[in-house]
Amino acid sequence: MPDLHDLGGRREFFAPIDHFPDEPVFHEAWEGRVYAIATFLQALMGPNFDAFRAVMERLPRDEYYGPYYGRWLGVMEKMFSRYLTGERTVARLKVVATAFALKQFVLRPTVPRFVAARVAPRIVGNAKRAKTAARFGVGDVVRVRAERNTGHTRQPGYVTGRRGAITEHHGAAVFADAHAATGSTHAEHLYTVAFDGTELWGDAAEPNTEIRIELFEPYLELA
Amino acid sequence: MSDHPEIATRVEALESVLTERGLIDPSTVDAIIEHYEKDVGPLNGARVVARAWTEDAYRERLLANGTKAIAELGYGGTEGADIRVLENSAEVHNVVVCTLCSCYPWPVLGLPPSWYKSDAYRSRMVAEPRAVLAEMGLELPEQVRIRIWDSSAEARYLVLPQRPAGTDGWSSEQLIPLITRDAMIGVAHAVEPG
Repeated sequence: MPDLHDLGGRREFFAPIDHFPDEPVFHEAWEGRVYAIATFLQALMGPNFDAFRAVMERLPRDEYYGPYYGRWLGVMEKMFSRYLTGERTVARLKVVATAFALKQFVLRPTVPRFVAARVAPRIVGNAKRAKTAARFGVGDVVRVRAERNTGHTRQPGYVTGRRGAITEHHGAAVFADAHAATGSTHAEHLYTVAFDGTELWGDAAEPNTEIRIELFEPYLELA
Repeated sequence: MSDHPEIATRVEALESVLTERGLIDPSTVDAIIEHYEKDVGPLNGARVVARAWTEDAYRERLLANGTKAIAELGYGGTEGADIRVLENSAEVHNVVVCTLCSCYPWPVLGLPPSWYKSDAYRSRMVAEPRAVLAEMGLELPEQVRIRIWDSSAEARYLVLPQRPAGTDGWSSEQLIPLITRDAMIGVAHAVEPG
């Protein structure tokens, strides 16, 4: 399982935080180019951030821990390699239509209320009705299963095997693990689970702290 | 001169191949950069917070459904499909992190700053929040519960900071400069006036 990216509580990464209250959006011109090219290609090909993250998590170690947008560059070179070699193409009309739609509807200081509230979430979000009833409800005490999927997953190591309580259930969403692995868009229920600091870190926990995190139903079992 | 000339060269190569193959439109690429440098940033979030501070009915709508209430101001889109707003109080202080990558509510805060994406912040915030916050200048007493939100799936979080004392009767325009990006991530309080 790739774990380059799964950093919660990993002491080998503990270091002072280089915090600057104000910093430019892009520090160097190439960062903006990488970000914008990725945005354009996601709009063109249909966004699959799960696949994007899955490729990122398997980058060579030095590249993952290098500059942030260098990571994005590495992903694009891999994800779109067959387009770069010319093996695959996209119809010119589709590229023109994507450019038009972005300029016309997306790249604006504000968008109409119904677009922001109702249209955009359907395009950029993964919320979807699940085919099965929810197994858990608010207040249930659950344990995060001991095992994890071997590929991309949104089940962090530091909550694996730990007990928490469900505080919210906001419906379901496309299951990231399967979406990244096979492109499947089947949905699983999503719960917000609260963990007390001491459950996660034992005696090392700081007083009066808790962590809340959204977890997909397959990650959970009744405690 | 770039600090990463080798990466900058690879980016140029990528862009020129994509352009040659007709897969990107360079003027739209320019427009995307400009959009995120000029239109989308923490000022959007500050407008949302200022309105919540000055209008109770809006605050209630915001806490009930962040995405919809934020859409009233015309903000929404990528990384904003399900925005949840977390209200700080005298008892609970909320702070946001993404331990697995860099999830962040773009429509209201713009793209995340480097420190938010750093290995140090991502690894430490869930394990030693009081130490991290103190290091960033925010010392919270032990009786304040610290609730850390790890953005792992659909939800993206915006912290609604406490309104500073001494701002009664202030307009949104006066309040906006007090509402910093750091306060809306939860690593700072809103700025005290004066």
